[in-house]
Amino acid sequence: MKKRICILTVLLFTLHLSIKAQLIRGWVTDQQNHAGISGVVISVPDLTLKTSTDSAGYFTLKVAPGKYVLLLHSIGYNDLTITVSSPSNNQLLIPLTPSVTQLSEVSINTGYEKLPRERSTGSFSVVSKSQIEQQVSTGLLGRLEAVAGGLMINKTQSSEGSIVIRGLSTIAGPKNPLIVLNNFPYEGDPNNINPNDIESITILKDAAAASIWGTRAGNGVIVITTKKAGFDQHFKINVNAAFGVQDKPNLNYIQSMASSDFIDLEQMLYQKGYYQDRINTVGTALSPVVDILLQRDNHQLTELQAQQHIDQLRNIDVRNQYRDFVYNKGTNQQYSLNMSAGSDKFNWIIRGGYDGNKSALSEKYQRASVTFENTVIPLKNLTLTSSLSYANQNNRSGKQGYGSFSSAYAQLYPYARLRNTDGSAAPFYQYSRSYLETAGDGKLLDWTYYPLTDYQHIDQRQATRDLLINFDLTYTILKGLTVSGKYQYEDQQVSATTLSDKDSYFARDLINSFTQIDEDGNISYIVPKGGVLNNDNRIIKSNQFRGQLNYNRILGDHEIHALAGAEIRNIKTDRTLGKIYGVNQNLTTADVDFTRPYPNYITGEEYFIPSGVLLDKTNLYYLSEFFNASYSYKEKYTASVSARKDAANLFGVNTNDLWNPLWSAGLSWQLAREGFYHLDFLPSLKIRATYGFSGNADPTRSAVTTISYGANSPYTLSPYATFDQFGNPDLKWETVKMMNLAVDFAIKDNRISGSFEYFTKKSTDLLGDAPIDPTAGSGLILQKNLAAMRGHGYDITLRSVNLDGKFKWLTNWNFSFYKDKVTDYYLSSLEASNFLTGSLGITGKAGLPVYSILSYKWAGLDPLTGDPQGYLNGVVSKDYAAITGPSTTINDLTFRGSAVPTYYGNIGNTFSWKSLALTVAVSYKLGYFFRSQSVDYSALFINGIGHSDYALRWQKPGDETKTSVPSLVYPSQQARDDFYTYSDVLVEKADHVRLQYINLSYQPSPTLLKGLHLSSMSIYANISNVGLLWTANHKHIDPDEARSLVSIPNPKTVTLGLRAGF
Amino acid sequence: MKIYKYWLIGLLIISISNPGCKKLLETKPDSKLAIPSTPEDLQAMLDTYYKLNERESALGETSADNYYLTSDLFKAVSSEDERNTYVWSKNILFNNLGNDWNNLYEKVNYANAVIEAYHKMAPAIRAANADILGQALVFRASAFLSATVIWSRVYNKNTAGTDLGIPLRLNTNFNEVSVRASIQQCYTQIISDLKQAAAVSVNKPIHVIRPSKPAAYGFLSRAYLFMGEYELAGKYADSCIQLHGELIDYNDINTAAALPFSRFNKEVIFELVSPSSTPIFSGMIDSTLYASYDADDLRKTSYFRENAGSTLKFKGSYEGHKSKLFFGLATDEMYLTRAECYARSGKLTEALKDINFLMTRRWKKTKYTDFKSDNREIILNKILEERRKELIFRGLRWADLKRLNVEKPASPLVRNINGVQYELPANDTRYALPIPQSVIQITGMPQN
Repeated sequence: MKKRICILTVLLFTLHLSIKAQLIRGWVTDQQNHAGISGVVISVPDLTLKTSTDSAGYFTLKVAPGKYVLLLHSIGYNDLTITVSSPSNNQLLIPLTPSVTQLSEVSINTGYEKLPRERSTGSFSVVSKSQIEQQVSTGLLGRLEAVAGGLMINKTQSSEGSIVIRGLSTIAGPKNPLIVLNNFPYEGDPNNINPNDIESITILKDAAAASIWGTRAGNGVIVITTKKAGFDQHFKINVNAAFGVQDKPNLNYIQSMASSDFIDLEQMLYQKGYYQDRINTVGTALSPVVDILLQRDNHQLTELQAQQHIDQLRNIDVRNQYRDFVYNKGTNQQYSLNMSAGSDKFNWIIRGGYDGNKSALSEKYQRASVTFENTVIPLKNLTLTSSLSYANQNNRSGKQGYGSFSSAYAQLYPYARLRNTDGSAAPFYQYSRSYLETAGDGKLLDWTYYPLTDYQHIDQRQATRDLLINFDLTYTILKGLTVSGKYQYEDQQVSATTLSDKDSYFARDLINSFTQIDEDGNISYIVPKGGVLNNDNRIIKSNQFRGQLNYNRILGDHEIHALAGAEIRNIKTDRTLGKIYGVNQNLTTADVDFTRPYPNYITGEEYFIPSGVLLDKTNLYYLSEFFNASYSYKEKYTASVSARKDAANLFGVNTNDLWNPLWSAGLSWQLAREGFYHLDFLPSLKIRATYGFSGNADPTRSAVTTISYGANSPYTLSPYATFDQFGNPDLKWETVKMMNLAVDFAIKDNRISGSFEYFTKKSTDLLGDAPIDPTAGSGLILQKNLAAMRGHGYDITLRSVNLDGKFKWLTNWNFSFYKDKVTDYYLSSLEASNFLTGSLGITGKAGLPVYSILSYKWAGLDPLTGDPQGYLNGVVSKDYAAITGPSTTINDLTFRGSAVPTYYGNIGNTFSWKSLALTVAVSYKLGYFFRSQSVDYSALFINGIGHSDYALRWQKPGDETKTSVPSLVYPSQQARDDFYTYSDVLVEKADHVRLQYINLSYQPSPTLLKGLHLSSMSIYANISNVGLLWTANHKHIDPDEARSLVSIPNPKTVTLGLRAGF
Repeated sequence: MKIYKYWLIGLLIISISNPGCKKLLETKPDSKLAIPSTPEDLQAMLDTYYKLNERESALGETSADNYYLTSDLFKAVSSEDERNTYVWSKNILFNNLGNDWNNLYEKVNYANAVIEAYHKMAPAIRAANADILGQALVFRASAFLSATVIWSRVYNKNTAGTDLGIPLRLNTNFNEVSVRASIQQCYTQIISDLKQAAAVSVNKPIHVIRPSKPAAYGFLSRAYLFMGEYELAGKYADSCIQLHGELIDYNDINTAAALPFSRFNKEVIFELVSPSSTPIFSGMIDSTLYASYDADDLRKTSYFRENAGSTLKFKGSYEGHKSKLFFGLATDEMYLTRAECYARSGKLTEALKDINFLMTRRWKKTKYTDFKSDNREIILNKILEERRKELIFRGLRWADLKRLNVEKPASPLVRNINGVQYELPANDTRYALPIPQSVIQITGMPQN
């Protein structure tokens, strides 16, 4: 489209040139995409003369012969001063370099077509190359949160988070949005994609935008467009190099229990006989303090010695041990190179990139990627584009970080010492120390674990190789009508190996556990001495073919764009997993006997040697038909319609149920183009409205009960099979009706431009996990249509040029609001505990947000005992079993607010002065709540999971005025702990503002560039993960890192880089 | 020429909606998936040993009287449910996900799915694979029997028609609301399932992890015993012994070993395992019970070990595991049941023969002298005493306590914790344990 305009204008221009030769003529283009720029103000200070470029970027100046200085100014581009002489027969070609924040987005890419924003009715958010390039992280999608509109990364469930577009879809089914690379869904790891290859990203937000992707668009669609070469383009090279340093993670963020408190607690529990069962069970590991106390009682240590040993441990904080002896600063390196050129019938681009990262744990990551793409016009009406991409990612394990191992309890005790005072690695015991000292009379391998050095014996690698081949053949049948066939082949192979060598704890432990020593002291190894190698190979192969017919015609006042087509996708996966024993340096291996069990050395119980073999194959077919059309009248009124039908070979589903049709329709009105429109200050005003359905990806709707084969039973040596899906024919597809109303506007000179979009969402069959009668034997939960909901929200995008001139200040502002509520809940069970879980579940009460934070009413601590108090039937109560039991329903709970942000967005400010530009990007999430962690005495006693709140617990009457942490009771009561964990008093406001990144760049002036023979250059410094600017909670908890007791915020990274174009 | 190009694209669109594509849509997406329909599928479901064989409920044993906890040991039991079970509290929470009720009924669901799929197979295939139906029925009946013993009162002929049993789920429709059947209905179902199974099962399975004809007979014997139908209990114990009657001579094993018995030893007829019960394994053996084993009784050393502090611990049983309990069927139980039933019906010679046959294989060689009496009561008491001693922690004590209390109420069971005495009188309603409250909540069925 753009190309056509370009060729047309060139033709027109040459025509003009031949007639008038006494003028200065010029064409102002975007330096990066070579498109003409309209509205560029060209002034000649000597003559106080001004003009501006036309819609195609051309201008003429009538001047007397002589030399003149021209000043070019356009919002979104750096100012340029050039000297010209008149008269001249040549047309001046004046490229402008885009300023740091480019204001107008060029076009929208839906993955099926590219269209100018002007023609769209749906809701799209476009992230430009410059916004992507301001960040330096290795992954592409992580860069979106700071710059994209209507998008949020929800980190309440996992550390990498899930991308949420306009409110959460249900938890049923895949949670990730569909990633489209150029034309096709990308099945590989999104990290294969080098961010430096990206031209733009389009986010499809409403039903009209996304319905072309059908059922896979339920979680939103992100379309990634890579850089392309243009026709008639000189040979160009662009390079980028960056180097970053990442801080050590801040382990002190973890609210762990003080070592001294933990030791006191262990002493108390020891005295009460809590550890007696562990002590009596041969081989069970004891913590160092319990071990010392036992030695004291066995008279191996005197009272004084024991006390001294214990007191030494009090001063150790394992977090400091990790900080000092394990973690380092991480480094990131990033290089990329793009080369492209084009003639009138052929163009090509080569993109290459390399990333090399070393984490704080010395884990290594490398990614190399290369793409070759070319487009050729062999015949008049035929265009053929082919591309080949190859990406290679390599991961290698490093040291063992915080939380990766434990001893004695499920969680490591806080006074653990990783390194002895003499610098040697400290031993840890997974079995009791006293037992190991005598076990096997020295015939066994060393059975202690050295976490500080064990990583040297474990080599874990993962290599991902991704090959992507694309062909796109487009043929113009007649004017406006083209037919195209697109084909993509992807082959991703992931091979992961873990070699635990013969000195690794893993191998030593396994070998010892199976070792047999007979009465004469003869030793036999059931698991041979040597290392253990795990292999895991996964292959994804996908073939996708799309046939599409496009019709684009402008007939007078009528403009028609239509496309229809069909596509077929086949994705095959193949996985092979296996274990090899007895691996030695010279790569010899040994056979083991998997067929019969052998007694464990310590307990005598019989176990099989783990075979770790798994084979898995899947073969998925997706068939789709789609249609999309828009009609515009006089470039003012546009109507659009889109429909799609999808089918997949879901197992156990009747074929007739497989096709799921979805549709949408939209209208737009360019108000500013009406004759009666006279608002000069608002030269651009457009109103849009859409309505449609967006589906949710493949709900597991099985009409019949299916089973899944597992491994072989070691007893019968035949395969066993478990239930996979229970036949659930009552299940309905979840569809969301969405309406979108929007206004796009720009005031004069584009000083302020943006859009306001209001949308509503309505669904009647939200899917979720419903508790079912366990007597049915189908488990505790089953996917059911749970609730109906209604939601609404708005996305505001504003771009403003606050200051223009020598000192420029630009602001990019994205503000989103989303709120929903349950309108109907279908299930009869309203047991409170069903809605009080660690994971997100649909709220079972009409009027509340779909994802709510509910809690038990808190009645303070009992002033006499420090017991937490709740309410039972409106009366203050300590009957925890009843409060947390089935008789308490959702109606008895306190509603605090939404569990997901209701207001969110980001603000990017760019300040530029001469050649310097500074961007500060801030993101925020507001209007929601989270549950903070605290002491759970049951978890503390059993698993050693402590919390710093332990120090704040109620200890004596009067404390209840200062604290809300319940007193310690022995034995612990699970219901009492559960009540406190889910009580009101631990719910906190999650509102926060985060400084995402700061980017400072230097771009030399055009004259300097010319001197350097460069077309562009930028030197930049970037700080990412800067930290929180503000949080509503007073506990200094980062709500994005409040998932568990061990989540830690991403450490700050400082990067320096250089970009240059030749 | 131009028409031809339209055809191309038209063809493509049509081709996707035509029957050829239907074939693609019917391709199996995952090689591991199947709709259970072939004998191999059904056998694979029944071979899911970790769900069907290894999740028996220890609630009965935990509530019974073979062991005790000191106050300290009691408090050190982490699970509140297990502490409550120990003192027969009504407030068992069962808020842990994998609770015993769910486990037993999951097994029932596997069996039901197999039975349903079995009946959909062609008659010829059904006939050739009747054993699969038999296995499924034994799994279902044994799960119903375990659940009935734990969550219902004892079988009483006069009131069984109205006393509340457990829900009898006989199909896989999870939307069907669970209703408690009467105890009579429960036993009728269990017995009819087992009789049907016995008719079609194999005499010798390829592994005792699979149910068989002797297993069906064994459970029939158990069911009739719990009902007090002693004649039939004895008859089926005899049928079982006819097919699988081998006994281990404890003189042949290393009784001093930490785990003297191996898994799947020759006495094992059918394998069922209960996962660890903390109270039992952290607890101490009742000292009177321990004292009742003669010094020459090899069971004294092969079942128990003395700890340093002269405390007594259970070593573990036929499971060959120090913290898992064998709840399956073994020949020793069958001999004891047959002996008891002979004695009750006055066949004293046969009863004495069985008990002496078993005891000579339990005592040190030459040390055992045959027990002799012509008094029915004395013989019966001797058999019941040996039954308790032989079948300790085998998942039978709770049912035995219940049925024996009917004919002769024993003195209450007693627990002492921190100076508080908890009592469970004979025939107390708490002999039927509380059903998990969440089940009551969802189904509305009456609580015990």
